[in-house]
Amino acid sequence: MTGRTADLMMNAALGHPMSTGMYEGPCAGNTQTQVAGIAVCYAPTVEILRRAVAEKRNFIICREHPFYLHGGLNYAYTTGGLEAALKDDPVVQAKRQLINANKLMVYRYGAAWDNFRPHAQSAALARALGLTPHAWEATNRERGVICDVPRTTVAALARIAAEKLKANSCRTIGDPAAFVTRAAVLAGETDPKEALSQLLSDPMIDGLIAGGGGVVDEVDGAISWFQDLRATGRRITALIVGYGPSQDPGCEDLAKFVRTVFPNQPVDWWPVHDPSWIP
Amino acid sequence: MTRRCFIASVGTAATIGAQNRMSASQVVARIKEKLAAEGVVWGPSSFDGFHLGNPDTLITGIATTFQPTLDVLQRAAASGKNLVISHESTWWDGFDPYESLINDPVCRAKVQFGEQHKMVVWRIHDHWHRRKPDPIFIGLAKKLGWADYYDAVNRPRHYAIPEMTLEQVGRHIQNRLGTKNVVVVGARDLKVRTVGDCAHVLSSVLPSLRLYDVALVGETPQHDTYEYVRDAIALGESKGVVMISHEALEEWGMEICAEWLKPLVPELPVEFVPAGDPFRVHRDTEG
Repeated sequence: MTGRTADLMMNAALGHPMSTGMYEGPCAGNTQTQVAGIAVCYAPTVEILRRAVAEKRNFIICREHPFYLHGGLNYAYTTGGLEAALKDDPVVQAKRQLINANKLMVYRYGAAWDNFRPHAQSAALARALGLTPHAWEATNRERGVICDVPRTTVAALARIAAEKLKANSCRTIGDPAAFVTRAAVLAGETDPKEALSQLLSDPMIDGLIAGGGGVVDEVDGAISWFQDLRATGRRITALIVGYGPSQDPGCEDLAKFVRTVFPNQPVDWWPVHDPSWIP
Repeated sequence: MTRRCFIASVGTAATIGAQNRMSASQVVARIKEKLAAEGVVWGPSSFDGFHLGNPDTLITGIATTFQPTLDVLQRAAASGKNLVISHESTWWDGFDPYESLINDPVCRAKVQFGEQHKMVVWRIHDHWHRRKPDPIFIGLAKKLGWADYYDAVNRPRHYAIPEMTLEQVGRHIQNRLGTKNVVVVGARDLKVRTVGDCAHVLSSVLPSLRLYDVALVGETPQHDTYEYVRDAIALGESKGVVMISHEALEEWGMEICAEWLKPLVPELPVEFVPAGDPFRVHRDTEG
């Protein structure tokens, strides 16, 4: 099975139209290479690629792009100019060489996975934190999930996140001593603010657990919207666990799905550690 | 003082007060005139202009701020100031459209608060950045205590600081900006002599990273900037990135704006109202 064939099988399984999704599908490597083994991860970092070489997993399935091209709703702001800026970049060149020299293939199925199972990443994050998401309607296409939380403080939730997600840089918006009884859990960024507003429409929700503050399409749109929500008198506090740590658990679920697509291939999930720290 | 004299004096003061009061448009006209005298001629901008309220509203006082959050509007109103001059957006998006959230309760509350308190928000983003040197980053340099080390002319702008480790850089920034919200990627013992200042996205971080030891950035997307720096380090480069909030990076430039405005509108009280760092680091409150 070549990379090209594997890509066709993944898209068929995900029901993913090949024309949609920015920077998706084959991102690096020769698609005619024979697949020797599959590794699934949040980001195909240099460390992950070296591990792939060592463990003979030459087909890398990831959420993020190997050359940092995330894309987004507002392409002009987030990624505009980045492709050009990275054209002769030494880090990109060295990474590409690592991929090509070792006959690796890097395939991204971020948007495809989200379109296939919109709640999957957030539900996996919730479960990783020991929470159980409410059931959702089949027609509900929101990314976030809602969980009832045994009455606890945001600071306590942050400690759980730091331990379970190995998240080094948890931050809060609002009082960490505030209690949470119902939380919206949202892997990735809180943007766009319109979707965040919809997700938090239940006034009983008093906590938001998210990956990033909200910088994909608006520098701080969702952050300042959330601050304004609090200023209206709504008792709600946010816990921001970090983008990568929020996406890692869902990638384990993606790996389980990939095993169903390729039952005859070895498929591993490799966590990607949080590189950040706070002095 | 007789009762008649008292009433007459109050009447005179009220008349003088009314005469001294200016509309928001008149304040803005003075600002544009002064900017033009400094070489910043008012021109096209997708951002700058009135974003809330009636420009003909009579102004009781001016609050400069970085982020015109509802909390900032409330504090400005409480101190009797109904013109907020902001650097960032009122409606949570760079381009300030609010049609998509017109039925959102938060949006409605903000509109209603503005109407009830006859508030006006006027945004100056691009034109404030166009002053030379850029007051936004001069404000940061002063706040960091690194003004003497700052090269605001040559791009990318940067600091050439006495050598310290990346961890020491992070702690210095925490102490000077009064926030623990300083998130770092890189080796703690990295020797740092140069720090480039950047905006937000990876394309703006790259020029600094290529030339300097560390890039200082305001709330960057982690999925590209963190991953780039992580890979650069794995490939043997000695680099780091320090992320602070958008507010902590830029709001000091609006403190400068308040001082710049005071002699321009001596009739009105002018005050800097900080938006403050939205983020807290959870471990500070662990108990």
